[in-house]
Amino acid sequence: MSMRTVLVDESCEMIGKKKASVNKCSKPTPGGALGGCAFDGAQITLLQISDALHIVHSPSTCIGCSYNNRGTRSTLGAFYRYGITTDINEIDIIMGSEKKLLNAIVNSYKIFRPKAIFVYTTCVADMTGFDLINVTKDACNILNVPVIPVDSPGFIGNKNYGNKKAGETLLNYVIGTKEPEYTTDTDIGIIADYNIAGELWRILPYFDELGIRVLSKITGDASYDEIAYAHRSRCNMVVCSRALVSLAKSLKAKYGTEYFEGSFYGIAATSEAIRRFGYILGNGELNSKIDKFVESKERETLDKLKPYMNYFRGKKVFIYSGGVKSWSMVMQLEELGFEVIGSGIRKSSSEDIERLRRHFEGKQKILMEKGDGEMLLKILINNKADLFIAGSRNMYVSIKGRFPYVDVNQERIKAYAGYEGIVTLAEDIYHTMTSKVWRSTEIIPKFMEKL
Amino acid sequence: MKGFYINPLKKSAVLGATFGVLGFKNSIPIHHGSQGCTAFIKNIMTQHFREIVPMQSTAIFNMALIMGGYSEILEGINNVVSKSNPDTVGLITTGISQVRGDDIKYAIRQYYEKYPESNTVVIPVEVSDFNGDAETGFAEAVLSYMKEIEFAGYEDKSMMIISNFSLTCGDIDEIKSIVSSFGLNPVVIPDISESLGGSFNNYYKITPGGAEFSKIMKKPVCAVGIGHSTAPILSLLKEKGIFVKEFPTLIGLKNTDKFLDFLSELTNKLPERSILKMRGQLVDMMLDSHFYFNKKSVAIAVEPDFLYGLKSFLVDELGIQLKRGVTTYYHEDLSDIKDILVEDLFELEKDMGEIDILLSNSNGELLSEKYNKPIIKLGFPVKDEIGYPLNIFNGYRGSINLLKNVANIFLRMDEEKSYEYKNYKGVKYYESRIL
Repeated sequence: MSMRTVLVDESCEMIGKKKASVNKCSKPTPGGALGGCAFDGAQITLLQISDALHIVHSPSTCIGCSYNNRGTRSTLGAFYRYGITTDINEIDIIMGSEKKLLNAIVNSYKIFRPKAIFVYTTCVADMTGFDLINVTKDACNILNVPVIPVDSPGFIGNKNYGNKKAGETLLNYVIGTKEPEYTTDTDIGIIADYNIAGELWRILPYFDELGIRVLSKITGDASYDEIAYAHRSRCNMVVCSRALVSLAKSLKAKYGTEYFEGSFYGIAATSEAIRRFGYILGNGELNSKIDKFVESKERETLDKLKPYMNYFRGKKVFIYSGGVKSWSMVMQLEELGFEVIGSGIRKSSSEDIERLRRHFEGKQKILMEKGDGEMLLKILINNKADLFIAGSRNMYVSIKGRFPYVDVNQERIKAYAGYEGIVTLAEDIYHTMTSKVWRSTEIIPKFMEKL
Repeated sequence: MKGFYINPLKKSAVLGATFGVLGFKNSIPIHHGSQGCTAFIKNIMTQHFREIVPMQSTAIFNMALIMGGYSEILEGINNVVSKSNPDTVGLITTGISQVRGDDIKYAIRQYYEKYPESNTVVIPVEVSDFNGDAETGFAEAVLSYMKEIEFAGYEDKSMMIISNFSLTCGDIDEIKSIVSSFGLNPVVIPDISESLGGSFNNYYKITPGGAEFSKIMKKPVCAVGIGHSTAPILSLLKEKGIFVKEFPTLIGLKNTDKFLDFLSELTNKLPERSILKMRGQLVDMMLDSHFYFNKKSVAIAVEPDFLYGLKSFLVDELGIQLKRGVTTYYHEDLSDIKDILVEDLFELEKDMGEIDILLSNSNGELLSEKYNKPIIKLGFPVKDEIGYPLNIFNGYRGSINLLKNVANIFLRMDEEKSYEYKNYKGVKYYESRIL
């Protein structure tokens, strides 16, 4: 890859704006950076293809203890829970490590017999100047299964850039290499939902009921084959807008597949997403079916939420999450009756932010781009928040400040998507907000007063 | 040897060194590497300790990687220092900076020249991802810190304890309480129990507690190293004229006895009554539970120091069979165990059918589920349990805890087996009891 392609990151909206902001976007701050790297990003995008094996050519930090750490679920196998590394050592760096990698690919194939193998390069491996493409070609010739090079070492960019590189890899090496057994008029694709905590499984029954076939899921609970014939979908939905929107754009350019960005978080968003599939597939009968379905589901869900909503009304919440969740969580919590103080916009695209701005127009709200725990605490205290919604990394911030908390990030173990998901979310929020633990930990015993 | 790892046990030396630095007070580790190195380590350590784990990165980026220079180190340290003013910064190298051949000692000199007003001591910790493991990385960080310390004068009540990678926060507290019961003042280096042991304090950006670092220290009465991995640190201290003593482990009755003997001789005092009482309880429990260890075997996958300790208690003292031990590097204390491998967790698949309990970190869950065998989670990372860092394995108290866990699983197994003979199909034993 040339330096120029590294620096001109298309997924970065800062390009074409002021020069200063280009720097701000493309370079992390030494001493102030805590995001994942491009390798991390590529891996989390592809790992869910769980009948394929994922081999990482790296020393031990990259995968030594970070494997088996995704909340994703799969019906096809457990390869996403395995971490396979060549464990590069000093000798490999000096003498070259191509043979070692080839050996790892061939031998792990013999053990697991996967449908395909993804091979990831990393910083140290790349610096030895080894030839990833050639090794994967050799392995492919030996094994006669697809062996796909994922060229996304950590130093080329942040996690988002890695997501995009993974999308490119799928486009260049996987999509379009197979054909489905048959096609229908209502074949759709869902892009960038990773089936965290089985969320996708809460959504798929809706499409079954409506007679829409989900042809390809990229990449939650996906088989290698369904990615390979993803080009036959008639309409794609991009669920996490920043991460893989470039893949959807390329699919539109190459195969003419329409796409839209949406979310399954919240009643309104879920209904909107289902309706948009109807519009794009352009089938009158289907549309009236969808209308009926959506109406009955919405009524049912609101009934279930009623007891919680009375409690939530007027309570204040701050949301610190990134990407598409920055606005989708806002909508979801407002549906539940909360007053949203503000939202984090880390990793959100300019479209995400624009959406939030429009939504908050005329009201005094906080849009927080980057914040450490201290700033978050200050916001929570100053605004007298009743609830904090964030990823697990900031969980202990909320505990230190004694704010009820719900985890909505990738390590979560509960599914909050779809109509049933919002009910689960309401239950969890109600539980943390009313938990006795907050009171009981406040009591100071007598002996401590004497100290 | 298959030449690659499937589900590795080994954690990198960088992770170990990070652990080590976090055991010093008002300190923060900075990784000289790409930001992913820090993110991976931070993520897993946060999950393990369920605490804020301060660390930062110099975030080597494409241009910096190609052009070289140390501007990102200077900028990174300065950013951290001006934000949180730590006592020490452990500047830890990673694979990427080691391959490039960065001279971080030179970079640190440059930092002092550029920012002469800085009070922070920056300590170079030269480890890499591709050499050694977490245990050696931990020791390397401690060694780097010790090299900076000059000893002068004498403190007649203080005892230095050098910890290892596998000692939990609970272990450290237990060892401290044993030592102080003899009227000595224990100085644990590094002390993660004060920084990552959990306490309800305010938000922090650098370690809120831990071993206090100062460039000049008074000589302690003696320095005790726990674990074989502390050997290089002990020999450095010996050169500096300190009386040193290595204990390979404090797990089990025998090993704790030895430690207490040593303390007793050193101070000319007897152990406190409460410790003696606990010893009695351990002896009693060992006797009570030995019925259930008949033909039981375990597989253990942890770092060498911990493996040695578990093996010497469970195998040598209790008579449980060790079907297979998997560890991260070869270490001569382990030479009398024949079924030991420097390998990955996948290697245990061959033995899972024949064992009764697996002792390993959270990643052993995969094996445990696949072969339907119970697992006792220990080592690093244990991310799916609350309060793991508070578990105690060392001393009489730790041995009682460990024994209780192991024995109860064996007990239940035996119980369940006995109900199988009655042939209640599909009826679980607790239901059949009611029948």
